[in-house]
Amino acid sequence: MSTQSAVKEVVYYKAETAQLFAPIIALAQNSANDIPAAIIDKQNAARALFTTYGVPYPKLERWKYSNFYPVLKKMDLAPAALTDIWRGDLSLVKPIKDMLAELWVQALLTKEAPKSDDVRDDNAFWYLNDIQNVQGWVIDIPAGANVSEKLLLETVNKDNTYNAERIIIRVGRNARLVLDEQHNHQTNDHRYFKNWVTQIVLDDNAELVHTRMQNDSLKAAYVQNTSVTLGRDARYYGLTINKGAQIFRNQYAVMFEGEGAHASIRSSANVGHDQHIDLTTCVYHNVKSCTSDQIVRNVLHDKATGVFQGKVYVEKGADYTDGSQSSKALLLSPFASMHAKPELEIYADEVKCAHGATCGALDEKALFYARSRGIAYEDARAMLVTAFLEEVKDGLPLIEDSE
Amino acid sequence: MISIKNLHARIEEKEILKGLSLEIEPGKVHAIMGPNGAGKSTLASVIAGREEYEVTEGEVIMNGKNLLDLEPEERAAEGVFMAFQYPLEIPGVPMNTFLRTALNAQRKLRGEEELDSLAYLKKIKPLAKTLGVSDDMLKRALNEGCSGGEKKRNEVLQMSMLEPQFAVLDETDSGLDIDALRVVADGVNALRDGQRSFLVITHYQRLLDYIKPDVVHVLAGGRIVETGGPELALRLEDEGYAKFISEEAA
Ligand SMILES: Nc1ncnc2c1ncn2[C@@H]1O[C@H](COP(=O)(O)OP(=O)(O)OP(=O)(O)O)[C@@H](O)[C@H]1O
Ligand SMILES: [Mg+2]
Repeated sequence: MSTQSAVKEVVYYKAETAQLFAPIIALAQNSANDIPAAIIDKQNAARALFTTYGVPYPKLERWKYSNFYPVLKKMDLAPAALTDIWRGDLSLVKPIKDMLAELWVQALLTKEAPKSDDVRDDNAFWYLNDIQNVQGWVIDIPAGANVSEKLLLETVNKDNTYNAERIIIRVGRNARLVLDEQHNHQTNDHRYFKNWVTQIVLDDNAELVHTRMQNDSLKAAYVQNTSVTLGRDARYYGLTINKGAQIFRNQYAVMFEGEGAHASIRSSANVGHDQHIDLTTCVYHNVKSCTSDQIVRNVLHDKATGVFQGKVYVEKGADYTDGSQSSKALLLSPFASMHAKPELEIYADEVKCAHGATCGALDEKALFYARSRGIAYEDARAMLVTAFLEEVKDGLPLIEDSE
Repeated sequence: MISIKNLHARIEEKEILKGLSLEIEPGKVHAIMGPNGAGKSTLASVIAGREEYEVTEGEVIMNGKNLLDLEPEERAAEGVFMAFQYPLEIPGVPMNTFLRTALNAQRKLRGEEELDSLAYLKKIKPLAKTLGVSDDMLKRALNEGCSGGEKKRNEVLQMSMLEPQFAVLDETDSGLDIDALRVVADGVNALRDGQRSFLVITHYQRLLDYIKPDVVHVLAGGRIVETGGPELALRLEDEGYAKFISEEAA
């Protein structure tokens, strides 16, 4: 594409974006006045940034494969907040609006969106969420607490709505939390756009087991930005199981700030139709002796697309880092596609970083083996697919639900 | 009675089986020997129903049905079992899950009641013990990280569990150490009940010391070129296949 037409495309996107999101931008400008000035400033800055950059367009390196615009423009985006989404010990969850006096909450709300590759327009959806950054929840687990009951988030979004949710989680020193998110839908023709930001802070030796069942409407768009910072010996285990959504961008920024910490980012998808499932990560090994793994298993039917853009960045001096990435896809239709781009950027000397990406069909020989033992074709296929998807759970401290 | 008549099979335009005929009476053990590339595994695969092989002529009749008309899983339910020369690894599927699924699928197709996990375990425990397959192995993904010999034992364990009417063993002895060979042969012999038939493919007379065949065939160039009693295997040990290969070339 020539530079001229590229410029045209960008201008076009930005103009259209302004129109599409006008109700949201207008709404935020009327927001209440009992909000600390720093946060109001942040919202104003975000509004300016989003208006400048617009919905990310495919010319941007990190958005090459995932274009939200065609899906969003079919929507009538009426802003909607969520209520009554939490199950479990409700005393652990507070509306952000009730926590604005807390300095650490203010600090997170005013924090810069994590940058990838020094480009700012990469983060437009984060800015868009910043505009309504007081809409959401704070979960603050005190030091030493081991919450035995898991915290459950259940959401069903309404047709033709836009929902920006902000979830702030702090797990104190030596504390542990299990958070399970269930993203459901009413019917598969409901169009809605969820643009969520989750900020997670794990103090020394804290642990968060964070699972997500993504079963959104087949006409839904969902952007999930998650940032995780880990203190010494902290552990983050994140697992997303994708079934739904027309287009989903699951974007992670993980920052190690204390030695001996571990992060797992796992994602599986069993999708078809014209679904599009994107996992984009940046894992920053800023300090020594931390480990991270990223495991992606996608089973793609029909015209489905999978994207994995994984990045492991190892800072100078962050020796004894072990950061692995593994992406495997089963393409079960000639029209399905997978784009896998595991990347490494290493400035330390003593580092173990394995990465691999494979893509293929179901193993015909294994299929025959199972059939020759009496297992019917469809069952043999289902058995192999299930086993493939289950690999994302390897080594995770999960408590299986009896379904 | 299993009756293979005038079987022709090809793969990728290459004709491998060229009019192979064979009859196995109930309860009998037939051994097949023959040079590398003769078509022994092809025969086993065609019987089990592997789709890469195109059968251009002939039939395989068992229980009055032509097996070639059936899907692989239907053949299994009918009582056909093939122990693979190179057993596959099935990542992520434990042997127990795999085998119980297989067993119940067959039972269902035959209209029998399915086994619950307790009944299944009761059945497999003593068999696994006899064949030296550990509990750990049963829980591990099928054949994953197993040695060649361990995979062969797993094949025989599957056979013992599935209790086929007609078992084809494709070089089940290769890769086994001397003790394992005896264990596996004992496992096969335990299944001999006067009704069940076996087709044992091997390169070594030694296996036939343990599993005594009723009939020995030589397969060369896609056909059975000689049939005899157990003494034929001994003779081949001495003479090799030179005679059959030169006949074939002629
Ligand atoms: N997938 C395939 N594509 C092409 N040729 C094949 C294929 N599979 C087998 N063949 C050929 O068919 C012939 C018979 O092979 P087969 O495996 O049946 O021999 P075999 O008698 O079992 O030999 P061995 O004793 O070495 O196991 C060989 O020439 C082999 O190269
Ligand atoms: Mg062979």
